[in-house]
Amino acid sequence: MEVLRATGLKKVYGSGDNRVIALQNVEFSIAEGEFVAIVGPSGSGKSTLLHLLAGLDRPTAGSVKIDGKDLYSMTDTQLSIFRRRRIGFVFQFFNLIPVLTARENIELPLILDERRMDESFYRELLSIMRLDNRETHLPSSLSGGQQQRVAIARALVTKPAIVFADEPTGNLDSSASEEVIDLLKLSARKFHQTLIVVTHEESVARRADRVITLEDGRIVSDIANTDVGSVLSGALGVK
Amino acid sequence: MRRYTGLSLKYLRRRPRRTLYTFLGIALSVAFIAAIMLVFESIELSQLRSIQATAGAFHVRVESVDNTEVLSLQSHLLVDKIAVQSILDSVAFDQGKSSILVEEADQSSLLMRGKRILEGRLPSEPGEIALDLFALHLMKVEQETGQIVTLRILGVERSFSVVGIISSVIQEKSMGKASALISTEEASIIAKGSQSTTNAYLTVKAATTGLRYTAQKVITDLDLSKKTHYNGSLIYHLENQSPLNLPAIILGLLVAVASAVSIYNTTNISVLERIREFGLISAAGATPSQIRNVVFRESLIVSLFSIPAGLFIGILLSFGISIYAGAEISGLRGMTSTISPLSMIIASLMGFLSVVVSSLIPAFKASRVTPVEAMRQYGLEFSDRRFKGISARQSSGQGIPLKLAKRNMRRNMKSTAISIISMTIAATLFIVFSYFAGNFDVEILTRGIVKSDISLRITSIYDDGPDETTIDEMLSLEGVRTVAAAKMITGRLLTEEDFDAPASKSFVVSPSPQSLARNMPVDQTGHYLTLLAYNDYGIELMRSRVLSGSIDTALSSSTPSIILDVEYSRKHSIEAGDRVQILTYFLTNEMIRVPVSVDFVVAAVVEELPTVAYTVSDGLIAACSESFLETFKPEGKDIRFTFMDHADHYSYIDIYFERESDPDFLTAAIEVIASRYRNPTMISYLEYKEEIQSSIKTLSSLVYGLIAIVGFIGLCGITNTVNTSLILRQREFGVLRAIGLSTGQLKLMLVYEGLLFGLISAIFSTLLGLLLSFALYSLVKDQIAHLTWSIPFIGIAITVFGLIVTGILTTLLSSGRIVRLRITEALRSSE
Repeated sequence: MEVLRATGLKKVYGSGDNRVIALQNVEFSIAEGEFVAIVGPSGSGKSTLLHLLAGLDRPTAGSVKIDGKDLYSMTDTQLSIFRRRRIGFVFQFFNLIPVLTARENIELPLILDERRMDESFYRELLSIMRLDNRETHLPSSLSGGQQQRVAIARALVTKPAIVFADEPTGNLDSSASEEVIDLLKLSARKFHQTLIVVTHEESVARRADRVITLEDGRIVSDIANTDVGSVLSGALGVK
Repeated sequence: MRRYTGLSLKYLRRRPRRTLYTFLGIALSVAFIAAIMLVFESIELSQLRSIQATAGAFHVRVESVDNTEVLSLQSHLLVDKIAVQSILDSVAFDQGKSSILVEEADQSSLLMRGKRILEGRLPSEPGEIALDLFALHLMKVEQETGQIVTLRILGVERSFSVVGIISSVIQEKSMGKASALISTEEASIIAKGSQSTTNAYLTVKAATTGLRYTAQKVITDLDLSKKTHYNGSLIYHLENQSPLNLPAIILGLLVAVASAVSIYNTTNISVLERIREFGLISAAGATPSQIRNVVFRESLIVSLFSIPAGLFIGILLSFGISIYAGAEISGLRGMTSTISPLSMIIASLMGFLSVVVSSLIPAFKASRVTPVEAMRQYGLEFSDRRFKGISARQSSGQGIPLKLAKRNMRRNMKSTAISIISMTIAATLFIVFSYFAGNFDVEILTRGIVKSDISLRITSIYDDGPDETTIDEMLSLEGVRTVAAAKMITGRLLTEEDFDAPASKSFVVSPSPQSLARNMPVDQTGHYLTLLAYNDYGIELMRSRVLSGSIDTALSSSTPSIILDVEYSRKHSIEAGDRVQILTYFLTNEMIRVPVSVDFVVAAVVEELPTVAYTVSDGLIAACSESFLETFKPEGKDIRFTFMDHADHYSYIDIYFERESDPDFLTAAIEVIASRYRNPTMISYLEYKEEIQSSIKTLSSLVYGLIAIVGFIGLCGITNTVNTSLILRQREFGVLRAIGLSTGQLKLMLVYEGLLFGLISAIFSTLLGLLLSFALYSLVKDQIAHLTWSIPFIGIAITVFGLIVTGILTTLLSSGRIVRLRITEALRSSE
């Protein structure tokens, strides 16, 4: 079942001599439960695409529909509410609010929605993310990997339809990276979620069900997992 | 955290120093606004008390009332309070010129008449008595309780123990009336069989603007007009009081604006610093209004504590200022502080509003940025403008710190502008006050009140006052050069234009507060006139001051002539040679007005009259020879008083000393002469000059104190802004040092930034200060004759120096730790 459809997406920054076309006529759809990796060289528009898909930025043209709802026909307030209920997002760094504890950071979307936390689900998330003894710690007391795991838990706590992750392992070492991707995949499978990850790491992309490659703001390939290897070599410049 | 709004408190706790600066800024501004309002209220209250001490606190006095009339007054809907004075007897003193009214002790009656207990208590038992100060003077008794006095009441000599001393009211004293109070029990014993006189004193329920009308309505409704006296002085004062204390409100607004700018600065920087976090919260699903609420709540939480703290400090401050000003500024002697709930509410509201207004923009800024834009920002806004590259020649190091400093200022234009505004407000005020302070000429201010070495004013109405014998006595004192003495009458002056005015003229109830006559319609044509009828010495003094016309004409002409002060001549376009008519009134024994009008000619216009006298705003003061007073007196009438009752004796006496005279001896001798008369006011030039100097010093301290506080509020904001701005640029400094900028060059760059900031503030302050002081000068120059325009160079120099030093010091002191950070630590810092 289609969970996301992007149609004619375009994003232009600046004007005049400073005009930059970050994305041009990007169109695709994603099915429920897919793990999609978006890859491409630096400046290809990967993060821009992810932000537009997640409703974090507005396109210059085009539309994005999630569960049949056009994100960009909503008001800012409606979009915020939609985001907190249906979308989870993990950034590369600076994920956590420094003044909130790990628990409060995880709980934040629910607090904003004025909903009570499902304690048993929360405990399960903590267990999966191996954060059982860290829930009262401030981000400054957590390692990089722990901070990312808190961010993932926050992205999952509202049981969103889609989880977006922008270079979630970019700031981590290889073992932490593996761990984070494993957790993302596990939770996606467990909670029947769609996972869309932007990455420049081959190891991450290889584990995806599908790889979309961007170059100069356009999709140059959209491949299912069996052909991932050769595509990645080209996209990531790996010999 | 149960609700997302809990974020506000967490943010406040995370930055305790910034929270403290914000707290201090709000508290100080509320304190200051509250203090200003309370002090101005205290000044108004002091003026009201002064009038009540002179004329009483009642609106209407109804004489010789019976019980039925008292009940009618009590039950009238428009009557607020009523008190009754029961007089048993009037004991004559001073050959009948004065009397002591023996009355039943009644607290409410005393208060209504403006009297208060100075010492002891009111009598409660037979054999006890309380006397007012005038009664003590008449009976030649010491001012202390416990002594035994004897008083003949209703023909019987009675002894009493003095248990209380009461203040005297000036107006009662002027009428020769003193008070002796006995207990109710004693009064009923003494008064058995005889009739006491009852007077009723009342206040009415009305807004101040409708007091007179309401009072008249009450009296008219109960048909009591024939025995009613209105307290004109009090009613006039209350009716002309402005409902809004404009100076207090303007000053309060100034402080509120300074505070709002400072708080805006702090909140803005705080939001910019956390813009990424707000982006993250937005990404997590916070709506724009939720983000705004977080920012607003921070300000509101701080206000919750800072506003009450500010009110408390404001009350303390107002007490301090009242005590200081009351002791040092003549005209405010005896001023006490008051706590007015309305002032507290206004100060709280103004403080609260300044917080809300200054938080609005930052809150909207935080809520409007998209999560992606927020995540991209480094906490400061960037301009899209391209910057010209720094050439290799410049990069040799000499010009780099200055170039970087200029670029940084332009880059952070908004926060720089706000910081400049904060400092400009206080600096501008300083320059404006420097201009006015430079124009405080003590000599001119003193001569505005007293032109001679000693000025004596006697306001007795019913008694004999100083006459030619008194003047001769003064002249005989060794060291006295001349004595100018003037008798005074008031009336209306009609110019030739008024003669041609239409025949029907409007008649209104007399506005004159000193009117003792029954309220009857008074012709309002022409101008209110105070005519000073001088002795020959007074006329001679004016001879050297003639600008046009002739003093000889004033003396020798058979046509009554007046001499006009040049100020009034210009104001009313009356010149030497013009014909005028003076209209005044005499009063019969039955207090009926007898109008008199006499034609005069303007003999001369002089620089100034020998006397400082006062008149209403559109009025005139003129002089004539006292020989012309006879032309006024109507013949064949039962005349008791002249209008205003000052034409029988000299009211203004100005004594001029010889150069080598002994001022102390002469002052003491003149005091002895003056003490023979009731209510003399003696002003010595030397003493008054000292008072003025002291008052100016005090006023200057208060104003400079005000400016210092406004400056301090601004400084709190600047320090906060600069501090935060530098913290946000830590990484940038790390990069600069990594590239090769030395620590010395970095410090120099910051010094240049501070210097630029100080210089720009100084330029704006100077321009604004000059503009504002010129505007104020243009507005008040007609009221303050001696005021001239000049550039306050010293004030400007101090301001420029102060702002530059502040700019440099604020930056240097805030940057110490940051500049000393290791390069790698600086590069690693992300917030």
